[in-house]
Amino acid sequence: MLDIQNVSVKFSSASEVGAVEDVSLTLQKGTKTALIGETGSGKSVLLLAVMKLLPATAEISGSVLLEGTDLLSLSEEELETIRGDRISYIPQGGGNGLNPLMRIGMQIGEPLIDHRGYSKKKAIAQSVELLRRFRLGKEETWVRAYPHMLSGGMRQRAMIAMGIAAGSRVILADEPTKGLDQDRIQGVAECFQYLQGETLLCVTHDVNFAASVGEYISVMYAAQQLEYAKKEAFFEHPLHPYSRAILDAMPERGLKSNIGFAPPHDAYSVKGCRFSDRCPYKNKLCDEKKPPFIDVKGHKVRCWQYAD
Amino acid sequence: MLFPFRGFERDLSMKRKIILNRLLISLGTIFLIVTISFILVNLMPGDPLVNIMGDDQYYRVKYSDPELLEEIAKKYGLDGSLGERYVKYLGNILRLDFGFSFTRNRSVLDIVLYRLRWTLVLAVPATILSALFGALLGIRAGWYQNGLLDRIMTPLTLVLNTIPTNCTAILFLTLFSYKLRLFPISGMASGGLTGGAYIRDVMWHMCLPLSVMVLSRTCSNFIHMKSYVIQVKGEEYILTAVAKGVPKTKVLFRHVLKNALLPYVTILCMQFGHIVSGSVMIEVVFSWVGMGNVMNTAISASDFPIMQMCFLLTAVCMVVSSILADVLYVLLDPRIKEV
Ligand SMILES: Nc1ncnc2c1ncn2[C@@H]1O[C@H](COP(=O)(O)OP(=O)(O)O)[C@@H](O)[C@H]1O
Ligand SMILES: [Mg+2]
Repeated sequence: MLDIQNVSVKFSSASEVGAVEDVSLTLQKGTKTALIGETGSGKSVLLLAVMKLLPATAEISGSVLLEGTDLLSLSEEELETIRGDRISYIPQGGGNGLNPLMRIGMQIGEPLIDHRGYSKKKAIAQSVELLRRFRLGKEETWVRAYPHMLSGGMRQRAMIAMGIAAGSRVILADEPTKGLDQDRIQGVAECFQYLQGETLLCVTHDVNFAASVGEYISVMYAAQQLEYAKKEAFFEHPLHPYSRAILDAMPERGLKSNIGFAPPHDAYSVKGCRFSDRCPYKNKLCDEKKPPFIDVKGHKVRCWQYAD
Repeated sequence: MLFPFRGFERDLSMKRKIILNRLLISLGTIFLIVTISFILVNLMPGDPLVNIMGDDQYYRVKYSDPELLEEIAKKYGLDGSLGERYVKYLGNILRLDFGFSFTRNRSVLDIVLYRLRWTLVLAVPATILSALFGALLGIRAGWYQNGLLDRIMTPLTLVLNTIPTNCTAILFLTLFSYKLRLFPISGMASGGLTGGAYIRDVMWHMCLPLSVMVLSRTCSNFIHMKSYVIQVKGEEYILTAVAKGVPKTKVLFRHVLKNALLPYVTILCMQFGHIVSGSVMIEVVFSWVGMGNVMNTAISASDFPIMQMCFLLTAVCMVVSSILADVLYVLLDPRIKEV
């Protein structure tokens, strides 16, 4: 469905190091993938690169195939017809992702107006139905509200509804649980479970949330992808020392926990593995050569331990 | 009704409360201004009668016929104790009675209202035109940042903004009136005209002062509007709109404009507050006999009643415009901010 191939992003304004380096991810139709990683590891930049929404200062390389079409090679006009129609982006609910001066219903229904030629009235009526799908309650009232009247959890649901409004089959969500408390996070996780048939790539730094939403888990660290596996494989026997460190740090899995291992500033400039200075298993090779992304029977990991 | 549905009455009543609150505060402010104006006039050194009658006459009457002096003082409301005078003064203001001009034998209200009309003839079109020009140019330059218009207008307006309006006024006068003889040198209308010819003549006289005012205000409006558009463009919800596949021009019209116009309306209201005080320079240069000129002559002739009313009017304009800005903001912005 969505095939991200060797995507790298560099900002010409910033330093030499890339914000995203050589990330490849394949999302099969109807699957849900959770992308976890520290703040600053390049998750948001990756999502925006996929949508080709980064500012002009970003240099993107690689390709992003949506059902065979390379999004990165399309013109802005062509992208306008695809964004929100075949692939959607859901911004962070905690932030300023909704227009403060436009009613919720109009914002949810907007893709229908632009992609399906709906009238304003019909689009707003449809947004009531969309919100119903996420059990907001009193949907007719809320579509006429402005964003500031909604709680963080409700805003997040409204944005998920907005993402699927025009029938988009691929959904990219950026930290949908940011700033929410445990109950609300549970609510958002349920919303993603209502999505049947849509292909989801959800960025988060909450490992528990990733476990409840994702069928596949991908881990990013210092702009690189370190591990990719099916959820069960990842949680039962994580391969990368970094993944193990994260999972070990979780008090009996199920309690709230965030990753607490931000890479040091100089990690980007090392010649070898970026996790090497914290790795208990490191050897000489780790410092000297960049580890490749090794495929261990479908479980991928960027670590020299698994090289033959 | 802004929120014609259930569940949001609280919002509406809160808006009402905020607006009422602002109204009360401005009433209080106006009362304070009125009082300060009284204190200023009455505590100024010297007997105000000196200014009415002139030095010579004042001292002659004072020593030869003190009763006449009291009578004159009474005529101008300058008798009685300070407290009595204050109460009387407040009563007069409530009845819109601002007394008689010291220098001209007409009521202050008549003089000022008549002159105010001439100021408004100039200031109202200037405000409207510059609001429109500033908005249109600013939106375009902000939306197409670093485009041709932006690269021309931004340095130009920054330079023009630093030149005081009286300089521009004199420059225009020299160039267009003395050198090119395209427009009249001064005044507001030629004598002896009536009807359509009179109106055309006034408009012809207006051209230069109006252009100077429009030019200077358009510059500052442009700079403001451009920065609002650029700021809104960088907001996350604009990224959301683009990510939804909203076409570019619709992003501008549906999402950027309203958010950028909100602060713009506020600065326009504030400009309205300077409508009386802001035109003194231009009126003097072009001999446009409006409020600015009245103020100017009243000051040099020490005509206290006129000065007082001009002062009050200017201050009230400021208060009214700032409350207008507040009320508009509360009405237009669904987010309610507590004061
Ligand atoms: N517009 C930009 N210009 C320059 N650098 C950027 C820009 N956006 C993000 N970055 C950098 O890219 C890196 C990755 O950021 P991001 O993807 O936002 O991290 P996160 O994983 O928290 O979402 C950060 O180091 C950030 O400073
Ligand atoms: Mg992020």
